[in-house]
Amino acid sequence: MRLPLALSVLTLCALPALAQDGFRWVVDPLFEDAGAAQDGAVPLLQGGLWGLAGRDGSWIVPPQFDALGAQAGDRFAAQMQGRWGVVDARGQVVVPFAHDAIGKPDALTPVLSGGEWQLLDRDGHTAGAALAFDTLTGNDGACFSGTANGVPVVEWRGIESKVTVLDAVAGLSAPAGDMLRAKLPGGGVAVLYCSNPYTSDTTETLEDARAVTSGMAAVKRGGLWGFDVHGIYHVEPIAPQFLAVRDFAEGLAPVQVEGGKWGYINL
Amino acid sequence: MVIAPQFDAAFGHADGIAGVRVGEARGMIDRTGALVIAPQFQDFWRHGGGVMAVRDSGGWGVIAPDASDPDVVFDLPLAQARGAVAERKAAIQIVPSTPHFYSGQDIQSRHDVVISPDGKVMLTVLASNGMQGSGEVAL
Repeated sequence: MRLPLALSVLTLCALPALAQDGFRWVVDPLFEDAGAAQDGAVPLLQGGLWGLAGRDGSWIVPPQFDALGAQAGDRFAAQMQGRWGVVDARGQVVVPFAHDAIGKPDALTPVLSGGEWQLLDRDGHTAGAALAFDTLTGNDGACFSGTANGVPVVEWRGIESKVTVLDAVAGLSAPAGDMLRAKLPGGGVAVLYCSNPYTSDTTETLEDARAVTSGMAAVKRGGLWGFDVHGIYHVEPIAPQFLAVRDFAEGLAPVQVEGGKWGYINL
Repeated sequence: MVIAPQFDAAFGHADGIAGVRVGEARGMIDRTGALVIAPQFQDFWRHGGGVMAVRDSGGWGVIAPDASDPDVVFDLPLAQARGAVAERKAAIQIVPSTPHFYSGQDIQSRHDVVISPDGKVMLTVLASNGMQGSGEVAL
């Protein structure tokens, strides 16, 4: 199914694209809000509705969504007339707008229907049993975190599925790959493997941690941030020395040093 | 430290460019830290696929940075290559980037990597069979 295209031929720019120093305008800056681009599609808000604009400055999907949710790869979760579905960067509806809630569109996309969190594959077909959650916190790849009756639960749907009830932790983050953060009852956090979760008695308590990206987990010890290594073996941990950090991307991570300025480190 | 501390805020790279803030103005840098778009915007969102949302005094719009346009930067016949794979049933992508290495790869995806003779460009061919699991982890 393809969304209505009546407006898709309209070019969003009132004037021809203007070349600037180092960039050109594709869509004139006239919109109420915007979102992160994915695979050449950019969310734009117009008249209280969200649409997707393309690289050529025309609408891929004219404004018609009440809200946009999580996005990943070339897919966007979107809400239309109160129901959630998934549209891709070409405007194709890949999950019908038939669900009460939705997680991140991924190889396995969680959708709330009939009071259960079902998993859909990339073709929109049900994949396996419903998740053992009543509330979804987040998902990434084969890892899902949430709660059941208020108790944190992590579920792994890899080659060997595994459900772990973590009643010794106070809360779980959304996963990043096979990793997620657990908030510990006494304060601090622990970094857990989704496929083999630890509990607080076997895991170091950290002051704070960020999502694992590129095999590196930003962790805070002694008031400073560094990076631990997870799942890769050709790099060394980076000792805590920064006031703040962001995640690694394309081999570089932004870091804030004493004095407040930001630079970048590599692996 | 590969890019010296000099920014009031800095964000992650995507397709070789990253957003930075100098004072209250936001611009873009490349992987060396060189400004490829001078700080001039009030806000921005992450770049993806050659375009990004930016906000100036008029509101939000979309720009295409020259520095992340692979057809411009790499001067490769990518349009021809993309056309050649467009009709294939499997979801295949050709992803140009600066050379980097992979920390791991799941069993559901496969990739092929070609690096140009001058070492400046890497093309990664990605395919997914739709099974569960995420793609490789690129550093």
